[in-house]
Amino acid sequence: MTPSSSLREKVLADAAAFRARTRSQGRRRAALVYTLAALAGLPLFVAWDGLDHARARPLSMTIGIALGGLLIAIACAAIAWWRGKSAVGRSDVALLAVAILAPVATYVWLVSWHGRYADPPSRIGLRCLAMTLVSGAPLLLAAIYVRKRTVAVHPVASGAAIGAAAGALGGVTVDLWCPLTSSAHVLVGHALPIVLLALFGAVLGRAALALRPPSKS
Amino acid sequence: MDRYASGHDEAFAELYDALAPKLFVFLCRQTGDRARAEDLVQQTFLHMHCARETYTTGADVVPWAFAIARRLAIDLHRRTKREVLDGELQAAQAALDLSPDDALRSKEAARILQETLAALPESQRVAFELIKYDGLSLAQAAEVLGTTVVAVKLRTHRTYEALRGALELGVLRRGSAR
Repeated sequence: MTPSSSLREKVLADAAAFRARTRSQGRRRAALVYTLAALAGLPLFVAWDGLDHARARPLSMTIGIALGGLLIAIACAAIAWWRGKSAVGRSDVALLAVAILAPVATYVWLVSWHGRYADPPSRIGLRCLAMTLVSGAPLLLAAIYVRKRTVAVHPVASGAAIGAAAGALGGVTVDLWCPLTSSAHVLVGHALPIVLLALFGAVLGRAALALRPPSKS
Repeated sequence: MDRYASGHDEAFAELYDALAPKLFVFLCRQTGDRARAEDLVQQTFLHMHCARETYTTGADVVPWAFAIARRLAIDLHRRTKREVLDGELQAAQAALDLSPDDALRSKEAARILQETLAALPESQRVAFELIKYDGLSLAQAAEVLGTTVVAVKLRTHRTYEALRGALELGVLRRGSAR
């Protein structure tokens, strides 16, 4: 069984009719979108006193906590964002592992610092929650925009993993800002927004990442 | 595909020649209809063209193309019902030039296998078909299905077991009928 000879002409004519970005053009576009998204959370960080807000904690500890958070975020992003040697993407197991483990690892890492310095009085963590969402959501939206309608396998799990990784990356800014590491605070202010972004990512993944038949209009 | 993703438009024709026959056979099996399969092959290539900017450098193009084709087939399947390529299967049977008795047994076995495969979950059936019919490796099939090699091995093993069980049941029924 072979396709009809006219199909070849149709396919080549389709490709000639649609201008598609090359990989280098796509990379430049993605770099611009991701840079803008990464900078989107900075105004709030600066407006809320930046590093000064964490002055109750020794600076070396603040940097240590942020570096640990950055390592967790990079590990999550490496699985959720980069597809390795595959053009299809990661397996469902890997994607779901990121979505589940990112908030857990963040929680465990931050709470492990509790009691190593004189913690300021604890708060619920609503400002940390807001700052993580403000820093992470643009990264999630950027990834959805760059990859829209191109994910053929597991778009929901991909969206969830990207959301969790975006939350973990956004959380690094908050690690530099927030001096609190008590369990309840970390749960609400640092782990919950990652869960929320993973859920938001799953919804967006279904709606926008999933592959759709190309439109001719 | 690497050359095409880098902007060498002339490589698209080579890509088509290398992939289209395999995709067509795969999509014929999934849709049971030549016209629909051709339509999906066209859509698959158009999608590969539109998404070439996202193609990973050095990646294997076969799993990517099959994953896109499968997704499009699933979307189509949700809108239409699957039909069997009865005509083509019967023609293939006739071409084998079997004795009437052998032809009958072979036809019965093919029917049992086809019904058993059709009754399996889509991901299990496609894992088996990608490896047995389309000649993909375990790793390639795992990429197409977005799962691990171990999961693909498990799915194909379960499919073999289901097919073996169905054939044994068929033999028993025929024996008791005599």
